[in-house]
Amino acid sequence: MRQNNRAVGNYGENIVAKYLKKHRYKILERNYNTPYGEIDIVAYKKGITVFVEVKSRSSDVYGTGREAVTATKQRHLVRSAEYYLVANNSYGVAVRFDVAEVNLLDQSVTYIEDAVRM
Amino acid sequence: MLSKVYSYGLKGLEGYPIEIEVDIHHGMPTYDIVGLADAAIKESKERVRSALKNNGFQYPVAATVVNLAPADTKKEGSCYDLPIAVGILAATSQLASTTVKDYIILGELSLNGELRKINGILPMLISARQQGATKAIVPLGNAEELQYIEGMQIYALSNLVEVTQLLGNTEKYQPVALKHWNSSTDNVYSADCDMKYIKGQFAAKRAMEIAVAGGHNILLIGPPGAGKTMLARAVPSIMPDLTFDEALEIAKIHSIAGTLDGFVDRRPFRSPHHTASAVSLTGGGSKSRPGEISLAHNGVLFLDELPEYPRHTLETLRQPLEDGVITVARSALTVTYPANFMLVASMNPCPCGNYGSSTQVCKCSASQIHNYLSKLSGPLLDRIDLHVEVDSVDYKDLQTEQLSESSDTVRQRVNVARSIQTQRLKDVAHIHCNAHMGNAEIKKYCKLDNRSSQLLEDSFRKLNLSARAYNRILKVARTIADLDQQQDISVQHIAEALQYRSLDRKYRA
Repeated sequence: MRQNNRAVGNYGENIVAKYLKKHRYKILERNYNTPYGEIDIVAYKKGITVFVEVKSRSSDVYGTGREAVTATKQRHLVRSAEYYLVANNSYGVAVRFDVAEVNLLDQSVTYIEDAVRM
Repeated sequence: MLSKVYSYGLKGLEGYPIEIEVDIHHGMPTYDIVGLADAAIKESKERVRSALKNNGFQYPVAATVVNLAPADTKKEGSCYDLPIAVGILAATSQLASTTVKDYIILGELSLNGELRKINGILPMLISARQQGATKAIVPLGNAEELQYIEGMQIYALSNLVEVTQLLGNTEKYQPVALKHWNSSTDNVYSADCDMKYIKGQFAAKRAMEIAVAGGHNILLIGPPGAGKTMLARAVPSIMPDLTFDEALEIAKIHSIAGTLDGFVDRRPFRSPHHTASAVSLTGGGSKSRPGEISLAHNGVLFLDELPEYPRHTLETLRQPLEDGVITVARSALTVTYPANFMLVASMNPCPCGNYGSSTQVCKCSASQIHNYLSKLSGPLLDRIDLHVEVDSVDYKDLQTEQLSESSDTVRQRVNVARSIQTQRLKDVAHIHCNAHMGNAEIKKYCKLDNRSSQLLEDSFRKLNLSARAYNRILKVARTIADLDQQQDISVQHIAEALQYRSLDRKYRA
């Protein structure tokens, strides 16, 4: 199954996008590129703009997905989000950072709200 | 939305009001504390967040700014966790914010929302009451030390949920009940240090009784094993009962130092080891903490083996011994702490310890003795009112089955003498005993008849006494007269007081 990482990542992000839609989020962007890195999913629900970092794993041999969101990656996520907000002229809105962990074996999603704070 | 919570901070022994403003607005989920907060306050972020989440409250998905006003004084400690949490709840409308402004709120939060005991709350609330505050919310662990504060409704609660319930509905909780001061210190001291177990040493015990009755400094000189330390250890058991004012002064200092367990029920007895640093005695550090001499305020500072303390350390005691206060100046702040302590010190007269003994032979050379005694400076010894030689115990005295006078009996006499002093000095602020009398009081209360003043004049010339020693002899004589329950000082009181200047007579001649 694992042909390249990009494909695996996309597969996981699709699962999360489906999960978000099911939970009444509106998907604003996918794979949004900024000079600081890529934002996997930008979603919106009840007045809060949500930036989602997706981590896909088929086993915990190399550590869990949530562990892979290191302090450096958190900083990049926050900087990217700021870039997105300025680019979309939407500074001053409520913002949240979530982490979605996908188990590739059973396609289950562990969704962590408010996972990153500055 | 903006909310405001009232709290208190400390500058030395004085509290000052702090307004904690919490502003929550849209934007990146940041958390900032401004207003010169120290590391413990900055860390409150994590405690507050966990405490809110674990008690079913929403932590806002928004930018949070906390301002501790006035913004130009340094704030320290963990006591602002609770007011910050209440501020966040009020700013996010999870709490009716109309009642919040009526309270002074203080407390540290644990991750599950329990309120933890904090230091320095007693002086803060005393200042708050003086400045017109009427209600306060504090941790349950601090309730005991606050039960003597009159004119204030203090609610001691155990967790965050109780705080929100109280702010919503005041009827559910009762404020801490006011307690009345009971001055008796009976049964407070452990029995093994009782005076009745000290065999012989009648002169030393008499001197100790005088010293304790008037709060005078005393130095015990004698060979090893004579019972100097035992005598000093028995001092707490004969100390006079505390008045409420004295207890409050002690409690304030110990509340800041974090050594207050419940409220004060006895006079402090501090015995720092001779390796203690000068700063640990006087107080200091970057935050100007109180030192041993302030922790011994209204009690006893016991320095065992006095010449073993570094000279520099002992010399720092000179000024507080005279003034009864110590001003600790550091870059962050300058604080004046009270330090009216009674100094009890013990020492050997020479390196081998037997110089001046009636039974043992001293093996030291004259220069050795001189060197040993010169570790103590003249100015320091001058500040010690009673120098008492404690000789080895006689075998006959040691063998006797008969117990000496018990501490309870001695304490009764001390209490009588002390209450005469308190009554006499009741109009003078911060002076509770003869030893702390100033020049004006000495002039007023230590009048001598002709015979007494003649004796004092002769001794003054013969012993080359200093003006300070003169004043101290008068004060000791006053205490001896008080123990005698005499209105006036007579010649035998002066004679006995002079008797206790043995260092002037014997060792420094």
